[in-house]
Amino acid sequence: MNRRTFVHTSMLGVAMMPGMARIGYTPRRPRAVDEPINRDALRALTSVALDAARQAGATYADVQIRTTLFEQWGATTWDSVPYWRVGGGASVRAFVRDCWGVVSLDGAVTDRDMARLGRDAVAQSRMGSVGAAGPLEWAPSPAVPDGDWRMPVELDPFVVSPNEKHDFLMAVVDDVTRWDNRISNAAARAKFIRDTRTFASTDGTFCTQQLFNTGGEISFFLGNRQAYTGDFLTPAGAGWEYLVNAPYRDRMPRWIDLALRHQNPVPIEPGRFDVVFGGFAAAELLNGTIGIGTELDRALGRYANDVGTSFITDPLGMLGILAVGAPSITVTANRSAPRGAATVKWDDEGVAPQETTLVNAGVLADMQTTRDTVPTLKAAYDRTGRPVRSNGCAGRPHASDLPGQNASNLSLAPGAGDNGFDDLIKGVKRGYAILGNQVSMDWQVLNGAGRPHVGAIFVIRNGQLAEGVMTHGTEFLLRTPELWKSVVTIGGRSKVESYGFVRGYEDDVLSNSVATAPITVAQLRLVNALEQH
Amino acid sequence: MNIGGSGPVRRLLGSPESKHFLSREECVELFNRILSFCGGGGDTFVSIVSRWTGTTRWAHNHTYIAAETQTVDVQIERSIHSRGGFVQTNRIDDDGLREAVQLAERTRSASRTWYEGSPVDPDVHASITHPTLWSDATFALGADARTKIAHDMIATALDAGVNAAGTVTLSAHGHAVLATNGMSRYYPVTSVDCSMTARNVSARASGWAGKNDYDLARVDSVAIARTAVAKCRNSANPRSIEPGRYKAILEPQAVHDLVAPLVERAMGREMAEQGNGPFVYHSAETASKIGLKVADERLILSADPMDPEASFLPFDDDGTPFRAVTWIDRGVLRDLYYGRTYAVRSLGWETALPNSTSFRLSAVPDVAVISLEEMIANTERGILVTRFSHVDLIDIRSMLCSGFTRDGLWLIQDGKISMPITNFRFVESPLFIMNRLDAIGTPTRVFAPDLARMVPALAVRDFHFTSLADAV
Repeated sequence: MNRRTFVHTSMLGVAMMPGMARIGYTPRRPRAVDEPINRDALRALTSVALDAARQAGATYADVQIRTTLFEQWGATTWDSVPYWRVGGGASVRAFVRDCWGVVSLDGAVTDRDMARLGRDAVAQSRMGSVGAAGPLEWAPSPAVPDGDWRMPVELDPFVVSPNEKHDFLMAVVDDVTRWDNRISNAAARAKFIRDTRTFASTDGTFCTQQLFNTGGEISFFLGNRQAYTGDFLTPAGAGWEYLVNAPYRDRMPRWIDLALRHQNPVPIEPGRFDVVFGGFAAAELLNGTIGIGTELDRALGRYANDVGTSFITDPLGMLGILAVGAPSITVTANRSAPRGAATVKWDDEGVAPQETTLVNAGVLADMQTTRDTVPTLKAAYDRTGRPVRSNGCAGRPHASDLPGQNASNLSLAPGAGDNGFDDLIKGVKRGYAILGNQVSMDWQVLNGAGRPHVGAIFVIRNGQLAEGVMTHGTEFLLRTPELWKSVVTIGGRSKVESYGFVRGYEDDVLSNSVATAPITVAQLRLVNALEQH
Repeated sequence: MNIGGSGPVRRLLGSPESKHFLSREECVELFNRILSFCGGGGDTFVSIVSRWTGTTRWAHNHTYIAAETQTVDVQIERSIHSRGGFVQTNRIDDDGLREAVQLAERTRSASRTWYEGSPVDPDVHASITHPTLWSDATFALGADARTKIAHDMIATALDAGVNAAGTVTLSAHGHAVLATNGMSRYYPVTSVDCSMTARNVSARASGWAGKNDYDLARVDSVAIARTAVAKCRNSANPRSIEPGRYKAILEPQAVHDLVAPLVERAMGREMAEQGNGPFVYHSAETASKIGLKVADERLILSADPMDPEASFLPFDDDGTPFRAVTWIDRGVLRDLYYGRTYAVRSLGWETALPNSTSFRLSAVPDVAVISLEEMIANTERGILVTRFSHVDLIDIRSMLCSGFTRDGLWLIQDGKISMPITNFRFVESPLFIMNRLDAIGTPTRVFAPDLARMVPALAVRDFHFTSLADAV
């Protein structure tokens, strides 16, 4: 299927999407934008850079060329406002012996630019070397001599006209506002990223891929209280269809019920309580603790001087030994997951990601790795007969950023049975339920606090969801291993949902997905931070 | 060089030279090319930030990356018949600019928003101050110089038998704001960021130090390394003490980490007068706390682009000049920042008062300041704090924040440092501590990349450390 055929068939798909006529939005024929990736030109540009690096003495070099389109819309009852950002550039990374040299340039690049980047990356590598670390170890990866991939989305959001986006969002806002006469205000937001990446290396890899990321938000006030809708339309590796098919109408009754419970919220009662976390809240917990803590570059201390390290202080010595959760906790990482926000065909080192088990029955089993970091785990891998291979976590927000890791898509294995959020609540006599929260951890991802989102925490009384709790000042305190050792129930397989998260700025492509079912954590400590002072 | 004139750099981004950013002339040429792609009249506003950055990072006493990046960020705003469209791009070739302009104009046509801009802003032609922000010597340095700095800092760690992780960044940027209403600003800046964390071999003790400035000659990298190493060595084998309220001796970086959220998030006049933030106040005379005492009467919070120790870029993203301003004078709130729209519509004034977020926190001139050592000597029982980390704002009305102590925490007993202690989580407000002062030190330049901040050490009563945090 070529691009033009794809656009045509996708348009038919959009036209048949259910429910759209009800809200006064009519899908239109997408602009037949045909922007094929000029792979020959890109191959020529990358070759110039790699040749220059080789001639300058590089032991290894790779090059990345990126074009990223970011578009965001915010709509209220009276208007919608878009914002566009166009980013692009090239970066060459090389090493001669023991230090990476990296040189990058924003904007459109020429042969002359690429030759200069290749030479300068080698010069940086030579000049940057200090210390006695020995030659840089670099895990092998099969070459991809001619790779090309497009994330399977139904419709590229960038072929949908701005007027159609405006009309759709305004129709949604109008529909939500009219849903219930107690709704005083509504808003909708959408964001789209199209990231075109070219990677080539002196290993013989040349690959191009086009990635998409779509997300959004619907919000409204019931009376003077904001309804909780935060787990809806989180970023995903998807296209325009993710937005127009979003089942917000199915969710409205639930959102209104939750908002009504929050009309007169009660203060938190400080103390230790069993807490049921909805899937989105559990996903944020997993992402902010075990997710960040198992990023190997961080655990190795590369960011000890800025964002921090990890509670996994000795990754090599702790693999297979460190208990990071209850025996029911098994966590996998996979940047190949369908519709994952971190999903790629090849990572920023040309590695095709493979699923790996990070935590197996509560014990640390693996780390999120790159070709650059995984050799440090060789002894542990050798013990279990595993090949020393990156699981494909190299990534960076933009070509001009320094190479690093992209959080993988994570998945918490479901529990036995088929319990959902409401079933877990039935198992708690007196406690709290949290649907969405923000987790703020220390620099070792060890101690931290969680703060429920506005309108997202409720009392549980006698196995029933009761009134809402004031979110202002409400926190739960946690320590990563103890938190996951205190998980007493995990929802069932059919209750698993995937949620997307963005690390850093909104237009960064460093996002990932986390799939979990709801969980129950026993005896979590809740505090009112305002009273703590 | 000619500060504020044509600028020191003549090389075009994307040319073979490895280290450059856009000069004033190149920014003007870029602006004219953008105008050539605009159709249908109206106003065009363009902001350009181009930057060369050289970075060397190390961990475990070994450099692992040396990098040079060249970036450019062009923001284009088109307004026609009071409707505006906005786009941001880093492509400055003709095709890229043409596409960006088309997007901005398409944005404008899709948007029904009333455009807030005004073509008669008197600040358009107002002159700017000309602080010293450029160092030819710093700009001349390359990867070899960064390597030398890293080498010397790592050597300090090796001599002490500890592991160092650190970063040294040298950069040069050109900031331009150009518009069809006559606005024409350009300013070149160099900057140096240098910081290091030292951890002992068992990773059970950690020390940190850092500084940024416009000129490498003003950043003593070896002194930074020595401080980090000394803090690490003196932090070994910490003991846990009960959380609670203690007298705290906050080093300048710790004071900065707590005061920064106040300056960055709470100093807006519009938010205060609309009922948000810590400076809300309602009376017949005022809709904010301007004119009221909000801090200890010995304190001044100010900002001046011409501050010889903390100079900063003399205009904001809109091209509005920064002037010397005293936010808090002798504990009394004197001003809050506001944009031009709010000035014209709500205050009846013509010009904005922008917030640079650079600042100087200091004692009033007639108050005796004391050294950190004297603060410690004057403390019967208290805690010495190097810095805070992961500071989160919990409540904007009180500016209550939570976070963690990091990279060096000691118990003070009988006027002396008695032992290193386990880190704490804290819950405190910068406004509360600015009202519970025992003593004030001399302001020093702290680590705040891209900003200029002078902050003193403070001795604070009853600082609330709420629980132990065993991260190192």
